[in-house]
Amino acid sequence: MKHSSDTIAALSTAPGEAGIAVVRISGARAFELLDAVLRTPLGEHFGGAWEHRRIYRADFVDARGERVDDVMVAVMRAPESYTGEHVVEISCHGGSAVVARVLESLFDCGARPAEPGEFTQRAFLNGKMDLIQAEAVADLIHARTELQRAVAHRQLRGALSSRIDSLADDMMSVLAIVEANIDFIEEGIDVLDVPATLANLSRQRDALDELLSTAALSRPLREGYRVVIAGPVNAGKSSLFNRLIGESHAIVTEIPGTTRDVLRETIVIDGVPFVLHDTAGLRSGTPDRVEAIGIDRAVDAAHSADVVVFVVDGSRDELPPGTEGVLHRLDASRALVVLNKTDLGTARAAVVEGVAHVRTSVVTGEGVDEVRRALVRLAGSEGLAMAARERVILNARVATLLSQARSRLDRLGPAVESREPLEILAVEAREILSLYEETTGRRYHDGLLDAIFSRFCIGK
Amino acid sequence: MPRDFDIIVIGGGHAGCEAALASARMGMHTLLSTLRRDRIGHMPCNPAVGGLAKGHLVKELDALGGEIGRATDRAGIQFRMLNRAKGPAVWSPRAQVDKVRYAGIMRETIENQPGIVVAEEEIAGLIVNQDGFAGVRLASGDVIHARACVLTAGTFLRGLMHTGDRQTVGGREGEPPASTLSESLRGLGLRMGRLKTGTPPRIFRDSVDLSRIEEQPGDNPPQPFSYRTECIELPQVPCHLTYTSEATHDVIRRNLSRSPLYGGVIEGIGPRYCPSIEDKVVRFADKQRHQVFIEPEGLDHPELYLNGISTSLPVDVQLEILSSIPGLEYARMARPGYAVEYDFFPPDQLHRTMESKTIARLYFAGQVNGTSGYEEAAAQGFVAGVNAVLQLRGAEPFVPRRDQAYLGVLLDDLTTKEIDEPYRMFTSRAEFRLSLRQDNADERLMEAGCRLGLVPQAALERVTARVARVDATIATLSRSAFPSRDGEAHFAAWGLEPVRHGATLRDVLRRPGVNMSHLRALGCIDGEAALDAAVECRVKYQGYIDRQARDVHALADLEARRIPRDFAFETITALSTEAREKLRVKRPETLAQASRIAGVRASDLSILAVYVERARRSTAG
Ligand SMILES: Cc1cc2nc3c(=O)[nH]c(=O)nc-3n(C[C@H](O)[C@H](O)[C@H](O)COP(=O)(O)OP(=O)(O)OC[C@H]3O[C@@H](n4cnc5c(N)ncnc54)[C@H](O)[C@@H]3O)c2cc1C
Ligand SMILES: Nc1nc2c(ncn2[C@@H]2O[C@H](COP(=O)(O)OP(=O)(O)O)[C@@H](O)[C@H]2O)c(=O)[nH]1
Ligand SMILES: [Mg+2]
Repeated sequence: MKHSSDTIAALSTAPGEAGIAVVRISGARAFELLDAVLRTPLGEHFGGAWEHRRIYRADFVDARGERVDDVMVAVMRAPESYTGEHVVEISCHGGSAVVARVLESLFDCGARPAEPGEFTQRAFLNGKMDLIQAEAVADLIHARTELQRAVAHRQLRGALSSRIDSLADDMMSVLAIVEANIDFIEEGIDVLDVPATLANLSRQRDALDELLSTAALSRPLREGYRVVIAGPVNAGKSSLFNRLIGESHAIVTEIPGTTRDVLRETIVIDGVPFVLHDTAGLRSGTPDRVEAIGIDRAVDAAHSADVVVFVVDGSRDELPPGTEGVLHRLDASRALVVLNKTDLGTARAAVVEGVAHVRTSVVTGEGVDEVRRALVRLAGSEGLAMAARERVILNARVATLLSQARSRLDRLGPAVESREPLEILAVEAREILSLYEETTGRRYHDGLLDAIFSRFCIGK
Repeated sequence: MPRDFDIIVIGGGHAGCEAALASARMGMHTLLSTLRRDRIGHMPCNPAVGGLAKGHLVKELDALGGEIGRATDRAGIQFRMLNRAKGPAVWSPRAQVDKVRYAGIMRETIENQPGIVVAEEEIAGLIVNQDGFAGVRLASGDVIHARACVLTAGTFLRGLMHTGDRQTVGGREGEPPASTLSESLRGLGLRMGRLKTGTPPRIFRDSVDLSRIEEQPGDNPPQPFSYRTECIELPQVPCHLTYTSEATHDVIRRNLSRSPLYGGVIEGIGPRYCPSIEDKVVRFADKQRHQVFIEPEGLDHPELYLNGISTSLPVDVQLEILSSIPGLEYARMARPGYAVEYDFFPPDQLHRTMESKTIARLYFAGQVNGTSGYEEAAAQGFVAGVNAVLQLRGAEPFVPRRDQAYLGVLLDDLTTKEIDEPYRMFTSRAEFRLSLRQDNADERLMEAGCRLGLVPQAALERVTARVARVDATIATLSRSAFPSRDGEAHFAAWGLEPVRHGATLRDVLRRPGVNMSHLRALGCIDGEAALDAAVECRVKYQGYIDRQARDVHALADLEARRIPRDFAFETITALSTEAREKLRVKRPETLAQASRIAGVRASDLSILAVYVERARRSTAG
């Protein structure tokens, strides 16, 4: 069983050959371990306390006292460390044999191998980060793109938490004056300043609007934009899909209708993930039941797509029956028509008015880059890339809470304006504060009396 | 005096009086032991009962069968409903009382109560065996046995009073401390802390010309606290209001170094809501004046109480302060103000019944728990007394929830919060404030009072009948359409927004600014106006109260999830370090309580819930 009181150790840099490797230790017994495995360059034990934020040069020795490596050791004492416990980082030489012996010696002396994510888990448990930051760590670990990493990193550094803290501060100053006016009458407390309060509330509203404006970006950032490749059988959908992902995943055949289910693959364009869906061809009067199900799924997939790529064989003027109708029902704002097989000819003229189109030959590769650019344009992923570099992007949980707070602010403002009774304003203000509280997992309400006593001269 | 009792109450202050009365009225043979018989029910500080949130507590105690409300009505010389300008949820009654009459009435009530023996004895120590409380040792060395004890020793435990650099040991002016008891309790392994409080100087009434000072009259007619009171009998008198001046502040600033508070002599922590005048001058330096309420100590009492200038500065400075306050230039000081430091026992060592978690059948109530105020003391005394009895009977404890009473908020806060200053009740502490009103205390609690046998059935029936009449009126309002032809003109004339067609009277009443008097003026309703406020409350707050219903449910649900008494919090390593430590020390009784401990986060709570559930299942078999 896993005990959070154990002292843990693990290699914290990527495994493999490298100049140096860093082994991290965290836990109450970190310094005992150092005493056991480190010697001064003169071969003596280190005497005295390990000092906070100091780097030591030392010889690392194993349990038999045999010298393993020449190391640099950084010391961070609890609670001022990443995990909130004593943390030590040993930089040793990067060969895997050295690292293995360093870790083995530490385990011999009583350390336990850290489980994945355990350093972070300890940081969270020790109150070194709040809920939002802990979520960011999870995001960071799972980040597959540079953008995801950048967003998670900013969130981990507290960018979002500090925004919510300051919203809570604003709300607390409203609540403090409301509550002080209720509980401490006859004590010459200023009455609620309506214009100032309204200004405060609209500041919160603007801040929430700004935060929430990025909420729509959260799904594509984390899950990627959905691109559905549709079109009649044999138009070259699977070929295009393969070309875009650059490797052969889908089955390409000359027998119509072999792509029976929806295939999915993620590609990254300019740092933004796109999830491509290859579908079975649209064909009326399908005899094969399995394939019919596949086509249903394709239609479903197209509905929830950010971009629909509709592939037709552009070397012929004639389209398979039924295709024309589907083509005209495409949503121009998110559809791209691909006229494929230019190597065989370009008999098919421009397609539908208003819908963008690209001519390609998947065989020669012509036009495929243009398809990529069109995806970026239609998905609006440049906006995401920009926002991700500069702004906070809310995840679904936070967005739900904050949009609730936003709609309550719409009630509180008018209530203040129409001078509703203070005890009613207090209920509204407290509910909003609770939503902020739930967002970060911090307890703002506990500070209410402090806020009152620090602002007002109370006491008859 | 007998040597064997059911329950011993140590202390005859506001906590002790309620504890002894509840205990005896519930049929227990009760000893009330106090240092001075003539100080039973004494008010060492301001001669007033009630006020914001405290008034709610008094009304609640009254509905449950406590005594403080009734005694206040009998000794009251000015009654005011505070916060009238705001909504009814935060109205709060307050009364000035004649403190000599109040104490006399309380003492007489105690002495006439069958089942109580009063002894003027100092308790020097407790006798505790492995089963818990067993008896007490008197200072004389005699031993008295009892099955349970309520300890309400107030500010007497190692009490130390300060006026300037003069220090006097004692619980309050003119009374010795109880130091041996304090030592004995420490010896039982109870954690202790140190707090301080203070009181202002008193002046002689005949040395000030009150006619020159702003007058503050009471309500007319005065509204009593107690359901038992037909009418207020004592004559009603005004209070007065003056202010400190720049000269006052100068005097204080010049003499700060002579204040034990600023000289670092006082180690106890004082309440921020009740700062000394030297504190106010220092902390709010830009305020040009501070209010001083002049309150009579009684109808014919020679002294006046100066509310607002509590101080521990030396006597000569206090005199100088007095002469710098407009209207008090020639005031003669009757008694100087002082600060008092005392031991208390952080109440997270108690169950919500106020019983010690480590010593069975030993209850703590009042200022010894780190609270301040007569009402808070009375409330705990009552709860402790009642629960001591219930425990001896083997019955279920009586602990109202936070959504049911201020009393519930008080008990819960005391046992979960960090007491780092004397604890006082505020309405802002009650998250269900809109439901916990002074006007519906009886609706909320009188049934419990009856069940405890402390309130007669007839009183409850009156309340039930009243509620039924309010229900009926609300039903009528919901059925009746607003008379638009007539009503609209009137509404326009009153400056009220026009009413949408088809609205019922209830819809209209729900709107801000509209009240029952408008509907009466339109001739829409008749019947008794006495219930108008109750009707308005219910109609206006309904939407908000309904919204809070979800939170009430969630709370009730968490309250129902009990944590076993011997639960080993320290073994749950998945909890955050801080939460684990706090839980280990505070030992919450339910998940709801755990959720309110600072340092316990939502994630900790869900982890705890899993382990508690597992523990419950394994003991259930
Ligand atoms: C100087 C001063 C200023 C205060 N100022 C304020 C204020 O500004 N605002 C406010 O809200 N509250 C104030 N209070 C607090 C308020 O008076 C108390 O909270 C309240 O009276 C406490 O009631 P109690 O029953 O707990 O204790 P107390 O009323 O103090 O009663 C204690 C009782 O215990 C008895 N006793 C003690 N030791 C023993 C023993 N060993 N054996 C037998 N009997 C014993 C005493 O004789 C006494 O009867 C002040 C108190 C003091 C003393
Ligand atoms: N000449 C030529 N053949 C193509 C092109 N794209 C696809 N094909 C061929 O057309 C056939 C059907 O392709 P496939 O990708 O399976 O079509 P799907 O049914 O739309 O998925 C295969 O034989 C492909 O090799 C193209 O651009 N040029
Ligand atoms: Mg295919």
